[in-house]
Amino acid sequence: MAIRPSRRQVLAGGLGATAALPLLRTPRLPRWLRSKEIYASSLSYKKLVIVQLVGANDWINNLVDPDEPTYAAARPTISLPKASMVRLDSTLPYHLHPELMPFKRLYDKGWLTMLPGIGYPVPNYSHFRSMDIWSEADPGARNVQRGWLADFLDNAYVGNDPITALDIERSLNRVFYGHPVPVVRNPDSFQFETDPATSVDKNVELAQIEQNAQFVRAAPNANLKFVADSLGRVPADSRLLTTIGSTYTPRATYPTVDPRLASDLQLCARYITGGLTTPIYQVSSGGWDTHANQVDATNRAGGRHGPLLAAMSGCIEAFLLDLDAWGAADEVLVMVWSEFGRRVGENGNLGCDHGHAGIAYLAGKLIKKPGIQSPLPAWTSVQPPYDKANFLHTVDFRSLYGTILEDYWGVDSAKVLGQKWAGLGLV
Amino acid sequence: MQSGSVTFSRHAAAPVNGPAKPQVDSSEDLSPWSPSTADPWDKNKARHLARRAGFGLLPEEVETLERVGHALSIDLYLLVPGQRMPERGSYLLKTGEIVNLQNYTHQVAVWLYLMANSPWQLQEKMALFWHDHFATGTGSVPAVELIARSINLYRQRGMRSFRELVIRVASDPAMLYFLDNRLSTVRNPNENFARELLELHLMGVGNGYTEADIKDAARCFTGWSCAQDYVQFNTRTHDYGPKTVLGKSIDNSSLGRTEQAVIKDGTDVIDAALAHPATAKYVAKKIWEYFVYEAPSDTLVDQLAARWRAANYDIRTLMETILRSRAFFSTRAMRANIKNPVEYVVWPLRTLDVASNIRFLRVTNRFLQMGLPLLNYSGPDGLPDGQAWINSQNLINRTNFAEELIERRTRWQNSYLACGFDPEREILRKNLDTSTPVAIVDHFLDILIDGDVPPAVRQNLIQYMTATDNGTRNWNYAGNKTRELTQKVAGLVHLILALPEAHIN
Repeated sequence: MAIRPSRRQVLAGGLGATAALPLLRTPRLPRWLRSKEIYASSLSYKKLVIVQLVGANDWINNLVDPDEPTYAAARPTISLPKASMVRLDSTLPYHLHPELMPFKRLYDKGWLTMLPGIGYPVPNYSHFRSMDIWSEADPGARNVQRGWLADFLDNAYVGNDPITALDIERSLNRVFYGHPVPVVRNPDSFQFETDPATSVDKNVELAQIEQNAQFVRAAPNANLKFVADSLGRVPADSRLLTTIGSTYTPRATYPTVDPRLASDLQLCARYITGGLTTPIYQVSSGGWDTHANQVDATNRAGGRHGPLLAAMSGCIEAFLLDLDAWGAADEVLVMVWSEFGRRVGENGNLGCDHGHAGIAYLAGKLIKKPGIQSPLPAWTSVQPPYDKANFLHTVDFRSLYGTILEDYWGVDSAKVLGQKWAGLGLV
Repeated sequence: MQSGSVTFSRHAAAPVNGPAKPQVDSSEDLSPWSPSTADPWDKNKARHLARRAGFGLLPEEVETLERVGHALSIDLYLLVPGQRMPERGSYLLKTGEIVNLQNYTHQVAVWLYLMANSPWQLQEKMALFWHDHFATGTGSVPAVELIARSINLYRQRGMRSFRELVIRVASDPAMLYFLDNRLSTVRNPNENFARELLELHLMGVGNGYTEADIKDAARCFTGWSCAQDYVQFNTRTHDYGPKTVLGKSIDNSSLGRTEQAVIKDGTDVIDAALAHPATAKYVAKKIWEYFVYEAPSDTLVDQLAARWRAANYDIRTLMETILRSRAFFSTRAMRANIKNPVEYVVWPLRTLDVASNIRFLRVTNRFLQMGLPLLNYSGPDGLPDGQAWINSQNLINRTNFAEELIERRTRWQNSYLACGFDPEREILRKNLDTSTPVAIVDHFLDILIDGDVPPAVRQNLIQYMTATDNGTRNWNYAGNKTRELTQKVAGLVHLILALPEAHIN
């Protein structure tokens, strides 16, 4: 069997012919030169808001045909009763989780695309490995060296936004490894403080913090250089992010079930409506690893999964309505993903273990092909014992990335993903 | 200073005969380091040891380590008595703060207090490492006291047998809750713990186990459960059938349906993983990266793992090999790592002598904004180390903590319990020349970041000591100018703690 080159090797110049002729590789032009020669005017990218569901969303309970006999057979205690579910529309047998009502409303407006069965060829049941695979856009990834959005920013992006991406999380997301971007949770605390007792020194101290980080180090190791680079950029980012959109107030009602997710998305809305041109915003929601108590024994729409779905779908609906009320919904796409789906059958603890195929959602006013846009994995493809059975993927996650890159941003996906992944024409 | 330190050292180098040997790369050498004229035991090496095996030292303690020499200094760190700390009720810190151990923030404050004040520094550092390695959090554990109990387990067992440690962790209520194993039964085996045991605790992701191994390992751990806060080996929910894990068949049916059989099935999985070559390499590499430097070569990891297995997975032996090695004191290791949030917070408390007179509940509020949810990991994989700690929001939060730390007569001092940072301490102790700012700037650069800054930064800081927003002041701190002097020294320390070098360990 031929060794399949990794995405990294392909981007680095590839194996085989190109590797044998390294001198033929054209050196990359510095960014300022590229932008002057090739792109006379600054490009304005449409905006992508990524919502990552950390822990593996049990997609089967998101979107299912409740009349499918295997569904109830595989999940005697965690399947959802049909009566409580939300029917997608009268032409289709599929129903949504009762707490996904906000997604039903988005679906009715034509603002929601669903990609059930999304995954990659060889299943990996480790959260961390699978997040690496998704983040690096490489099914062979082991530890993320560079995220796919870092490669987008370095290899394909040609704009000159002062901040190219914003990570609204506790720490830098794997998709940005290799190209660190500002991590912000609260703009009010996104600035350096000085001692109020010596306010006479305030400006000189702030200036020194900035300058001292920017002086050239004689022989820095990689870590010192990284810290100095990050620290030196903070004051400029701070000035921008503490001022822009400071008069924003939400123009839609966000659900309160997960205040963190609501405030993170409101921060995105603040910057987008305030005029920040940054194209990428990353937020996340945790707690999806429902090995136990996914449903409540007495209320299957409750348990751990129901409130998570309510918060996720409700906040995304409110976010889009908020942007629409501000007149900013025409340039924003929300992408929801999770590292994999969960096992077909339940595990006996009112939960289910790690599985393979999952679901991704795209939401926004500019969706061209709403509804279910990938084949649902077939129940006939699985056999008992269901707690060991997995659905195979029906759509590759890199097609989703191709959709973002090719269809949404109009850039060559090969520059980012190492090979061409045509978009699905959804946006 | 460097040549002088050799004279004082009890472990002075043997006289060198013949021409000096060319400098060889010692970054992969596990043989014991010893001082030489070219590479003496000095303050920087003592501080390196203190920052890595602990959380830093007072300047006079560094001077003591310099005097007693490297061998005894390392001995001092390797002394780990394994003492327990209170887990429940309330507790009086020596700072005068009363903490309620049911409260999450208070528990974190107690641990930060201990890391800043415990004489057994490596015990706390090792506990911090194992807490990340065997990460748990209050998300799925019903009480923070249970997680505090795990930390006590790491204090008591964290420097002894790795095999015993893993067995204790597998039967620790916090872990049984966190990874759902308490619910795992013969009818419904739950793979969550078994998977993370092989993947995260022992072998590393994808290092030689299969899905079938995980499924059978999960069967082996069925019945490992807990009642409230005590482990229970449930003979009625255990799967007694034969299993195969990592090619080793596990069948303890000869023991009958007994607790012994339940326990033996689980420990057999752990033993099978410990016998697999991936385990020693994966864990030893992780320890090396935490204490020495990132991305060691495979050769080095192989050597380290071989020694560890030869020592029957004794953690103290491994740590002794590491701390005494030439690689540990090589240029590749010195000032090479990035401080994690605990290191960034506790190190100035210890170095600036505020560890016993600051308000730890306040420190904790600042600390919890730096990206490390101590006692409350959300996932079982801990958090990535190194550059992952550094982002703009965390750098702002770190720098603003440093600013609050040096504030005088404002926030820290609104309680008689706290005295805070004393800018005059070092000036009086070392009788520093205050006729110019140079000696003061150099001294604080030395004790805080080993004097490792570009000349332009040093010049800038000297300039700061004489300048205000309103223009340049003359340096004249004789007589009644003490108040201005202390304010400037406090500001200087803030600016040093805000340097990129301050985040380097």
